[in-house]
Amino acid sequence: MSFKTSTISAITIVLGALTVLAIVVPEGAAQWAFPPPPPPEEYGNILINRTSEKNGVKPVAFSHWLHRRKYTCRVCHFELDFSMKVNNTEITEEGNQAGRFCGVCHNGKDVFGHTKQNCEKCHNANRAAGKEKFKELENLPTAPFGNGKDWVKAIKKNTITPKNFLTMEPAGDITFDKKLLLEAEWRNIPPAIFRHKIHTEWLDCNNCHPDIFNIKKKTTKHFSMKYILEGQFCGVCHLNVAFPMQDCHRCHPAMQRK
Amino acid sequence: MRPPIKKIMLIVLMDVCISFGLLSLSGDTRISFMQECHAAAQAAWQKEFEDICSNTMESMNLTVAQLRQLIERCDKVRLTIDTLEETQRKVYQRRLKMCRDMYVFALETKETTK
Repeated sequence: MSFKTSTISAITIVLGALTVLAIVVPEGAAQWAFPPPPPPEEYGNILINRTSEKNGVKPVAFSHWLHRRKYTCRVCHFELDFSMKVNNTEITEEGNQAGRFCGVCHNGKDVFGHTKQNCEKCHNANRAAGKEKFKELENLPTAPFGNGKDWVKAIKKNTITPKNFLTMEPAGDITFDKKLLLEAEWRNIPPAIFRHKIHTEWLDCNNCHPDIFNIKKKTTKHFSMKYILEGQFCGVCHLNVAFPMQDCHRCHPAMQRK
Repeated sequence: MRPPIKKIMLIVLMDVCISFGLLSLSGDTRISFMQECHAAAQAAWQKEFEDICSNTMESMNLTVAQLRQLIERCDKVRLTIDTLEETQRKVYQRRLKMCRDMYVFALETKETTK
């Protein structure tokens, strides 16, 4: 069996191109897999199940978008001591009843309390719980991924004015507005730009430093997409709650949105 | 230097009066008085805790001396937090650690970039 010269040339070109790609593209790229996006009304919804099922109750469905309209991340992840990692906080019914954790607000005065009639409102194991309220976000600026809402713009435009503290008012607004330029691993990817100011609208400095970003010890060399997609660094928030990784343009502004 | 006998006498007298006053209170009133004292003590450390930790957002603008002082205050208030009941203790220990770590981080960053 003989091949035509043109066919052989075509095969050679394809093989050559594949070889070049194999050299140029780092091995990590093959492992890049963005988590499949849930429907917008379920993005940021989590099930908390540290001890619920062990104690014979259904896991708690918690919706980030439902709460972040009214409170910044700082309130829960610093003032109320909720860890950034799910099931890492020792939330107990006794603690809630004593006015800690969820019980700070869910006390029957500010919002519905911890009564028997209300158990199912949170302990329902339904990640889509509360989706009927998603339409309340229709006035928020839109974004192509995540909840389909641009939460940064929403604060900027005062569409929402979430509270930044309950009892512990920050001593002053952050004046450390340092912009970081983070070179990407690949030559064809433009650098990522990190603005502190945008993040401190939502977070306290101690939410990220030094646990998640300890520049002094870990340096910026390790801020690679591989680690981020494993849930480290930016991936702590930007995989499940803040806009997801699919929105490349938000961090790498020189990249075009498709 | 002679000890201020008059002052000591006065303090002892006040102590006796307070103890007598406490004993003379009825059971419920005494408990309520003690609870109020406990609440006041709690309010004091909580105020100190909030006062310390409300500076984290500004930590990069604080001086080395201010950061060192905040770290010292963290260590001091930690002694009280360590005596709290379990849930409250765990919550405040973790929050205090977040603040302290932030101040240490800011301090180290400032010292290395001098």
